[in-house]
Amino acid sequence: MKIKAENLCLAYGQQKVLHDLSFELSGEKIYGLLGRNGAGKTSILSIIASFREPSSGVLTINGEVPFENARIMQQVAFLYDKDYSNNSQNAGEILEDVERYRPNFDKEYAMFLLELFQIDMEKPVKQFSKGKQSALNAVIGLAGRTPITIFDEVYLGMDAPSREKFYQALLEEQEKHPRLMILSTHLVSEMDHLFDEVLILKQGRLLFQEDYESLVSKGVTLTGNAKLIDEFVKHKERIHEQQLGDTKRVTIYGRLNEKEKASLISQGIEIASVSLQDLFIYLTEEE
Amino acid sequence: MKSNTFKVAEDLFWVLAMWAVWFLGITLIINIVKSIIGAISSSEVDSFYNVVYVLGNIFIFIIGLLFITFLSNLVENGVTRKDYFIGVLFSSAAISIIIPPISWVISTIEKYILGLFLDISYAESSINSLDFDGNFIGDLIQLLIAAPYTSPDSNLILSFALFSFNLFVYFTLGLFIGSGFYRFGGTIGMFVLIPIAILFNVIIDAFLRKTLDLPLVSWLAMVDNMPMGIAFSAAIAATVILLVAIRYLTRKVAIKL
Repeated sequence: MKIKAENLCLAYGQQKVLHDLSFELSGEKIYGLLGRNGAGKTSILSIIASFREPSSGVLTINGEVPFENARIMQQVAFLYDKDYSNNSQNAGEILEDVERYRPNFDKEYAMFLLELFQIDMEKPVKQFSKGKQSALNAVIGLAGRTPITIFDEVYLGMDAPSREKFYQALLEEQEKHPRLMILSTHLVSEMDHLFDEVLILKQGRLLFQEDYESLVSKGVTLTGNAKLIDEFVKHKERIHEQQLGDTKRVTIYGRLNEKEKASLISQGIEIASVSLQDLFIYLTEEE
Repeated sequence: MKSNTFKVAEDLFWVLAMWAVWFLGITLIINIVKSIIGAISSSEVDSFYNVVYVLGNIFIFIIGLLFITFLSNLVENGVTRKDYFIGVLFSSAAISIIIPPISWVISTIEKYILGLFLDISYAESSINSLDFDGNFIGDLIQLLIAAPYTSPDSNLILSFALFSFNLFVYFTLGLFIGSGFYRFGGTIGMFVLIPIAILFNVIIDAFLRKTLDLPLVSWLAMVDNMPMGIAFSAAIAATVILLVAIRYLTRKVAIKL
């Protein structure tokens, strides 16, 4: 599957939320879509899922505009933090609907996931806790096995153990039944290990689209003697600083050359790559 | 493999059928109780068929209003807005066609069974005998509630056809308002779409009245000069315009999250 956006813009009345976005997603990869609240993550995903049309620009999936395209829409699932408070169906009935319209739906796997997340199939979903409602969305997305599966912060309502189960199930599923997945989140630190490629959005604009490794190589974290580190970083762009006694940890934006690396190592300073979380916070900081 | 259009039509039909069973069941129980009371107090009662003829329009109008909620669920499952529209069209037409004969059969059985034990006198329908007194609001309310009627005893097929057509029109009016609220929100829904729906209801009602040679309200006297065939075609055309408007309202509508 290949998703291609060219000069995508979206406005709600006078308010522009997406500005001239161009990107390409392809292959059976897990993409992380990162951005602060209101950055436009859900807006992009809504367009990919044909929930709405862009104001201008073109989005195609396998070369075709997905909006109102029955063949393409059937292959895209968009799971979001849905409000089930008015839904009197139970989980079993909801999954029956999914099975009816999603040709790749795996019922047996869905049952396994329901058990994993301890979801009561007979109970009306409006009586579910927020965490169970989120878990149900995760089950629908995973068991639907659509070639493009989008999870838009569905994990927010889950507690930490459930989120861990979800991440594990997601990785196993991607290994057995690979597809193009998009995970939007601002829970960067606990999800970064899932991403093959990352897109970072800021105020409706795409800042970066790079594979995970090259993105985290855009900065380094230095740990060691505070004086030595202060001296080294005084002309560098600092992302994050922490100090305990004489020991300091500073994350800087930018790469080190071989000479700098050798000098730092010889002074006993540890060099590590930047965390995606620190980089994300730094890159999306509001002026 | 079934097409999505067929699946949607089938699924929505069963939803409508389920609600119709509840509606007909509750109406039947109330009608039986009223018939027994009527027999005891020696007063006239309305037949089940005639009660459903009036209440059915209100029931299906409300269902039409709520039916837009299925759009987001279906799009979430990868169904297009077009398949939703066609599915709604077929399912609502099907339920509108089957409610009249079912109501008539139930009504006949109810009359027969109750007649074995009770002496019930059934009232002639007064649905068509509206009292237009020139009061605009009063006349309008009468027109909105009472759709043109033909007794099944005088012409069964015409009665069914008219009943079905009324149900379909009221469902369409509800769906039109629901779609408008979904697309444009409350203000435009309230001040633009509801008045348009009322206007269409009155127009279609007037054309049908003319077709059946029933009395018209004074401020719709111009319809009186229309030939019957044209009036009937105009009623159909007005319904088609409503359907086109619903398709326009839902064709590109953004799904609310």
